[in-house]
Amino acid sequence: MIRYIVKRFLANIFALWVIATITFFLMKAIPGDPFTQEKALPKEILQSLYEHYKLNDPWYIQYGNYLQSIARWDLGPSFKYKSRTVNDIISSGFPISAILGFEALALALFFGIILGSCAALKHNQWQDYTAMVIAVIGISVPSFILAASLQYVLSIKLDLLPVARWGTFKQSIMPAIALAALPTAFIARLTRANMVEVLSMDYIKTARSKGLSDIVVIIKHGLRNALLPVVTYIGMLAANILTGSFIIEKIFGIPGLGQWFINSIINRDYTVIMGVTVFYSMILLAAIFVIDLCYAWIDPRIKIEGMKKR
Amino acid sequence: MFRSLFLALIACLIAACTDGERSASKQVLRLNIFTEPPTLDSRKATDSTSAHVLLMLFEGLTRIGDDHQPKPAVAEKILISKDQRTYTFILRETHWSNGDKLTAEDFLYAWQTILDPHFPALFAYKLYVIENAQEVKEGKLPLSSLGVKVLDKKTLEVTLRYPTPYFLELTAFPTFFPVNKKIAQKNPEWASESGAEYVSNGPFKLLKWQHESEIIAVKNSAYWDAQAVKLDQLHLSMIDDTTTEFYMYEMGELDWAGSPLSNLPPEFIPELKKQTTQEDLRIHFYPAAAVYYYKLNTLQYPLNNLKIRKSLAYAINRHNIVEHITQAGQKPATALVPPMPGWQVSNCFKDGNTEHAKHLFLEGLHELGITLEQFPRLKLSYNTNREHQKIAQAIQHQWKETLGIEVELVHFDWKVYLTKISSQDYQIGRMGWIGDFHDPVSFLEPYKFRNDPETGGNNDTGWEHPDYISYLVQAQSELDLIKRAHLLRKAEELLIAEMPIIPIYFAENGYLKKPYVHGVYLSSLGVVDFKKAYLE
Repeated sequence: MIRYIVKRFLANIFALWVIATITFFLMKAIPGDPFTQEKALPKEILQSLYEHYKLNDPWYIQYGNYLQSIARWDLGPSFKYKSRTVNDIISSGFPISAILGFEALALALFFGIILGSCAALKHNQWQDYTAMVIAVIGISVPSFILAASLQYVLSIKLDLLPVARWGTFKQSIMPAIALAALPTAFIARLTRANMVEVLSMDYIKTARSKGLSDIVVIIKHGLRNALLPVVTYIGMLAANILTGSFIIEKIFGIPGLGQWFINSIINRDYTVIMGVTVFYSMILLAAIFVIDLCYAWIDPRIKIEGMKKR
Repeated sequence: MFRSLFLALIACLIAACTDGERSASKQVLRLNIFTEPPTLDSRKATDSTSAHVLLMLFEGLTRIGDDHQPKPAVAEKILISKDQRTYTFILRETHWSNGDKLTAEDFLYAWQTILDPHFPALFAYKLYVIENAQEVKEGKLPLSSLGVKVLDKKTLEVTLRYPTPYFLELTAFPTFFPVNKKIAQKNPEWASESGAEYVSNGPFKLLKWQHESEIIAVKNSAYWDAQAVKLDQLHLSMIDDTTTEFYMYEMGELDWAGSPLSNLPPEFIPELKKQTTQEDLRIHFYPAAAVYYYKLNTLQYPLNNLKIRKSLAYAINRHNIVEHITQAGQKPATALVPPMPGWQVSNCFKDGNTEHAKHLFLEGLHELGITLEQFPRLKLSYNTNREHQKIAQAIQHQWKETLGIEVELVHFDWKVYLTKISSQDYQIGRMGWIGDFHDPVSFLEPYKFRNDPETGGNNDTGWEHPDYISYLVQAQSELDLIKRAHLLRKAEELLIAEMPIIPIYFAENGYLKKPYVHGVYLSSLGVVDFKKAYLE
């Protein structure tokens, strides 16, 4: 087990290095720099800026500095937001995005699994069709439309919830729903498809013939197997949803991390681009790792190398 | 398990709830500044958001009044020499928000750091009107040769490179603000957070700066003119979505929406213009010192032909565009310099003169020795944005209708676009220009010299004209303001006659405000002063 973890850890470090390197060169390849602006700057001012931000150094020095700063996790100041360091940006934005992400994730899992299970149990009956229509709507309506409609109906027309901003639970309800819609629908469909298959398996028939109730069969025997693909999906989903969504954070004025992924690229804010990309990759790799460990727990048939047989 | 986690989160969030309620007796103005201000160090600020907040917190030697004229502020008396090149500022007895005395040294210190060749200040060029400022920034002269002298603690003498009628307007701008020398020398990062080190000298002081979320500024009792300040607090949200801002305004969570801190959502403007019943949803428009135009690459065939350029300009029906496409109060532009205090806008040609355009176009084709069929497809570039796209499509259509030519629309990400324009890799490109100060020079100067690839610049059209340069040079040393204005007008007329740029419209700013908000000074430069604002 420890050998496995160490091996995965080293592989992840290597993956991070590859990601950081690709990001660095892609970032340098896009035209424009942090100081490109509408009103052209005199040469001497540009020079003093390049010098101050060490953009005059040859690429390999800059690249080396970036790798070092990532290794020390001291990501330096933002080019555009001069009072902010990238570390500040991540440490203040990520918790907010993560709280919102957890809310959305919880919503998506809870309703997704229930919706999917119900649909599978009532396969090809009206409950199934209703659930799947909801799921199709969830998948096809873009989150910004859903967000704007929620705002319009719940805040403007009914005056139930605050329009935007962050700080209270009430303010998190609409963004969480808007964020959760797509994954809920996806999880519902995944659960349903697998559940339908699992429910036709022999061991379920055995369980049923033992006289167990529907609920017990589903929860104890069905879900455990039907959820495997859902678990796979959660890895990706968690990394995405916990690091924030640009569009939802923009619409609801939430000071999370999601906005930085897009804004840093628009601004050519080099240090922020590097910082948030590497941070996102770390979260993603960690999530995948945790999910891999979870497999073994959920499905005894999957064995992790080096782990003792259960 | 997830359910209990969810409940735990709810509990956390409710506990973390800190949303303060608004008390009715206090004068609290709630605004949205759209984004996190990139910096609150006046020396490094370059964007409008930072400038708006800095104007609340700081004050320069002068401050712009409600009549758009600079008024003495930190300076009590201003003496101007006969050649209009030496300004002597006698300062008032004023204090920083921490009680420190503000001296002429604080101004000198701020300006010297900006011009230090190693200090990262994008707007250093705004100080270039000061004698030797550019040479100091280039590292050719030492800091001590800068034309700024501290005669005593309360007297600052500034020598300018040439007479600058708008200098007192510049000194009201953040780049010219003082910085508390004692604090800034001790901690170069003093402006990063709110707290004891963030000291300012303006009508308000910084109470709380929650990054990317909210700024709270409170009345500064140490401000010399504190009795004129009626607001107790300013609450500045950072919501970078115009629709959300509008909804918040509608729901009474904000007292102001739209310009100059943000924009009104373009899709709502036509509706809002129609409604007349609700006072708080009535759009107020005011002119912006800003022009929207197309740059032409005059070095490239076929736009190297003057008649072709002119025909393109005359074939555009600007009236239609502002009435039916942009719909936000813009005015058709047939000149470069927008209306400004003390400047009557020129009318250099007739808008939508399609007959003349057709005629000129045929002559142009003849001069190029080609037929209409041989006329190449033109490329019209703009940065990716729905409003720019709508205008480009309308003009594409108008050119097709009037001249029978094909135009291809191409759009790029903002910085890619700017790089393409500045490397002259374009034929026709959209551009907007906002004045830095109320003087035609702010619009005309950029076209004085054509860019050379070495130094860069703003004139990417490849156009240059000896007479144009000479008018601007003469105007620079002209002390008689009427003669100066005449020279500048001649320059503008020449520029438009040569048509390296096609003016399209002069911008207007629109905003909504609650009927109880009063005393806000708006300037066409996109600057706003809340010093004397009050609620009633």
